[in-house]
Amino acid sequence: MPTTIATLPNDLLSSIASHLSPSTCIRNLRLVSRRFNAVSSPYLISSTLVSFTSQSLLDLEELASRPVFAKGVEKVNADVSYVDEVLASGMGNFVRNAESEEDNDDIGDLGETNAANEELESLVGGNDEKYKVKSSYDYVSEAYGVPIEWTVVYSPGFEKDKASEKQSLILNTYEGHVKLFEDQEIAVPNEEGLKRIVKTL
Amino acid sequence: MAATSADAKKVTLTTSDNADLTVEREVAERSILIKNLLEDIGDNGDAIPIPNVNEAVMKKVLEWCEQHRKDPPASQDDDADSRKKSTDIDEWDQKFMQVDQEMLFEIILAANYLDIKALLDVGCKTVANMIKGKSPDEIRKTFNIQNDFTPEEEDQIRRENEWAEDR
Repeated sequence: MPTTIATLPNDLLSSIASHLSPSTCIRNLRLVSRRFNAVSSPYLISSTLVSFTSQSLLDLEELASRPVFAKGVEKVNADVSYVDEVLASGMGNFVRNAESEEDNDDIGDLGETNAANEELESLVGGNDEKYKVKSSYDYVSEAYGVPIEWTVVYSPGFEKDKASEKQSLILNTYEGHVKLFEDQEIAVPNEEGLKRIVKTL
Repeated sequence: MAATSADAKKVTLTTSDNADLTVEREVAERSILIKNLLEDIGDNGDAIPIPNVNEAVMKKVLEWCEQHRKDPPASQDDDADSRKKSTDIDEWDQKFMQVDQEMLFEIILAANYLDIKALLDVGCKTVANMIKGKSPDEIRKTFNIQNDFTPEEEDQIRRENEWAEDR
């Protein structure tokens, strides 16, 4: 009988799969046959990103509950950006912050957030994971300066359904921020989120 | 052990089809299996039986060992990321691996059995390169593999692939 790829033992097929990229090659290899699916599946996911939101934590836990895929994960990146409480506590604060971002890219306004980032970072610093820190509202700066239109948004008597496109943008961004904040307060308190991540790892 | 005479530096290997191949010890010792055997039994001049490898494949493997006789031994670091994900193969090795599939897989099996890590690696990378960029069906055709999935199983894997995309 001639020697074919089927002659190779599983550990050698696995070595071959280890040289292939998860994105396309491994996905295609999994679809070849049962045996190839079995040997290549551990290479399907080699790294993952987790952030402090309920959904992200659930996703990580789901991944961990599937040993075939989980055992191939070599790296977990943790996004420790923090949703700011002051900004979430009122439309006015949020819009003013967005405006000052606009005016002069004021790093000072981000100070609080960054401090929170660092605190979280030091909490998890004992692990060998890599951390990616990014501002959770970078996207606000994508809205170009319409401070006056925005200021109107939090004045009394403003009617949401009459909002201009740009006003809608800041309203939606604000609502998104509040939702993220509320979610964070559920996911993170007492280092609960962190504990879940560490436990999962 | 008469290490000083020129003959002492040669070893004879007997292949599965009873061919005797005589090579320099340094070349044969690219195989950790042969190296350990020589250390354990001592170089008494007897032929070393290699019952899992035939003459044609052994000659090919020894050709590679000859070319790479001065390579530094593989370090632990070679197991790390740099080696793993890359499918880069140096030019000489690429040419060396231009053989039919049967020989390619024979070389891989022999390298595994003889414990020649670097050659095994080149072999696996060569196969990986043959898989790269191909659809599942093209991979099956290339290697003559039967699709033994039920439609349900195939669906399940497609779903898992999509799920993995967001990770």
